[in-house]
Amino acid sequence: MADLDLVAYRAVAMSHAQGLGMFEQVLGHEPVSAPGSGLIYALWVSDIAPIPARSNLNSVSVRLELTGLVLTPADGQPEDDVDVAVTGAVNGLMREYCGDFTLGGTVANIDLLGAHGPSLRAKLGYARFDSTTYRAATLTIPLIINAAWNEVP
Amino acid sequence: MAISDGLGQAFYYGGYDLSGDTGSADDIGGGLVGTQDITTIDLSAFKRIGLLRDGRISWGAFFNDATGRAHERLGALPTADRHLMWATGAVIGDPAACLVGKQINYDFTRPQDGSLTIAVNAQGNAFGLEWGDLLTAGKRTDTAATNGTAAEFGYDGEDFLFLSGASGNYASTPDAASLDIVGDLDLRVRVALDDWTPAAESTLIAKYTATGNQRSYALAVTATGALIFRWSEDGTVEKTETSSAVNTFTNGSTHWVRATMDVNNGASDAAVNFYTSEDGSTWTALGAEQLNGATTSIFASTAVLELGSQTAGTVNRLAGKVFRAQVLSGIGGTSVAAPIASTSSITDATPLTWTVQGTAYLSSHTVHGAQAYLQAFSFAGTDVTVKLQHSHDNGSTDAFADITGGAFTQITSGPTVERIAVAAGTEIKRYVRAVTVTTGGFTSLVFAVAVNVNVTAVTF
Repeated sequence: MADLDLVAYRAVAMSHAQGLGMFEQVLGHEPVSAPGSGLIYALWVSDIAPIPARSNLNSVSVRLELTGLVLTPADGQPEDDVDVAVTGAVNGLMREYCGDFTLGGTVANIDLLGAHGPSLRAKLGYARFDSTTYRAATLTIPLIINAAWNEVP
Repeated sequence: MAISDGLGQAFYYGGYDLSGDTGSADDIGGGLVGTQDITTIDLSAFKRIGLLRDGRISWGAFFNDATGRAHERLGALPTADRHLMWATGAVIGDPAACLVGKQINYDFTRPQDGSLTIAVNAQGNAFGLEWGDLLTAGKRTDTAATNGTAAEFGYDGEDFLFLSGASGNYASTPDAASLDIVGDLDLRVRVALDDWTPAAESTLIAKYTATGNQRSYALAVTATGALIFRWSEDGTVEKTETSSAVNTFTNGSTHWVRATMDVNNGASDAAVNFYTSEDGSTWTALGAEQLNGATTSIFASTAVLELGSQTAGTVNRLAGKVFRAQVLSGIGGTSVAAPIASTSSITDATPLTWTVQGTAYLSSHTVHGAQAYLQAFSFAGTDVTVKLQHSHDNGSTDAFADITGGAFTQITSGPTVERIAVAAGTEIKRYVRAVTVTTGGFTSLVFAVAVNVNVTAVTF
């Protein structure tokens, strides 16, 4: 059985982000206070559930959803470049994740196209920490893990 | 057992465990492919006969190109027969659908969401689909000759009291006023004697104890195969009538036998008649009516009513199987005792409480043979033979013995598969197990066995 190994999945997912050379910080948790300036990437687990269509006769395959958050202060200058920076970061992250959809062999695959729920995607908006407004891109990164747990009566 | 779901199942294909590459069963089916209407004009409802049997398993596979996994086994698109076993669990006794068939496809589906599934179908060849019961807890690994644990089969309606013929083996119910029949009497027993011309007289049912001269009535089979009715008017003096004909039953076969006593036939005489039957309702006389020469009566003793012996399991003991019996007050009259062997006790709705004595026990069997399926996943060693053994009481007093024709072909390499059919007419006892034996030794055998015991006659 594969079991779930968040440390391994997250290490590769964060490594891809760090390898882009875009981010001031790459965090393995959801920020609870203003994370600073520049581009920041945070990654955490948001959902874990068995996948009926992927499970076999006597074990359960699992969809583990990571949420990635790209942040940068919304009042950066020039303001027109804020979206360019965030979209560029999202593009880089998605390119990396598509280009290594098994996260270095640690998962069966990233559900790029949504075979088992929402696909890899990013939703852009704003987030407010302390008194600072951030431009935010929230990434959904669904990881598929084969035969994580045995079914035993 | 209770209602259960489809979790924790297994699928074996040609000696390979494809459970991990199988996501769904879309159709596990079989039975008749059709019927022929043979309704005649004098009938008011359709009359049909069954045509051919068939079987099929359709399942959804995942793509896995590792050695011994789905793609290697299924992608080869084999044209020879494949043995399929779909186990609904991994506990001994869990049902398993078994099929010998042709794999007819291996169809990929890769929709735009990026998933990848494969549809596979197998169609039965020669035998149709058979539901058996697992004799192994999923896959069993033996590293030396092993007996294994037996599965218990409940063969509805065929439970019986098994009597070895040893002293003290019988079943009894205490004396009761209703059993003290002094007039007309009707005794009926459904029984299978190991020997229908036994070495010594064998009592079927008796309220008849020499101890203390408490003799009332008894029915037995004599060494010649005749039926004998014993009674006493005073508890001491024994009186008998013996059938003028003898039975022609095959040893071990099951039949109804019956004796009636008319204590006063209206002609200053008492008459005893003997019968046999196959269904308990249509009776055929066994020989001529036997006359006592005078009217009679039956002593109201304090003896227990017992099956398989008289004098509390010590005299004229029966070796065989007693399925049920009846004591009627009056010929075709009121039922005052009606013991019926069931799974764990002898029931009697009259009501009476029966006790199985000594090492006698309750069991069940069929005489319609069985079919068994073997999936051997791997083997290391010189040789091993998997065979089926059975026992009436899980080896407690009836030692496990080989089922005639119940051995698979000796295995010298794996994976391998086999289906065997134990001939119809072969007795299959209540407990069946899969054992491994070897002559040259082996170090490992991983296998699964399912057996389908026929409770009715089956023809392939």
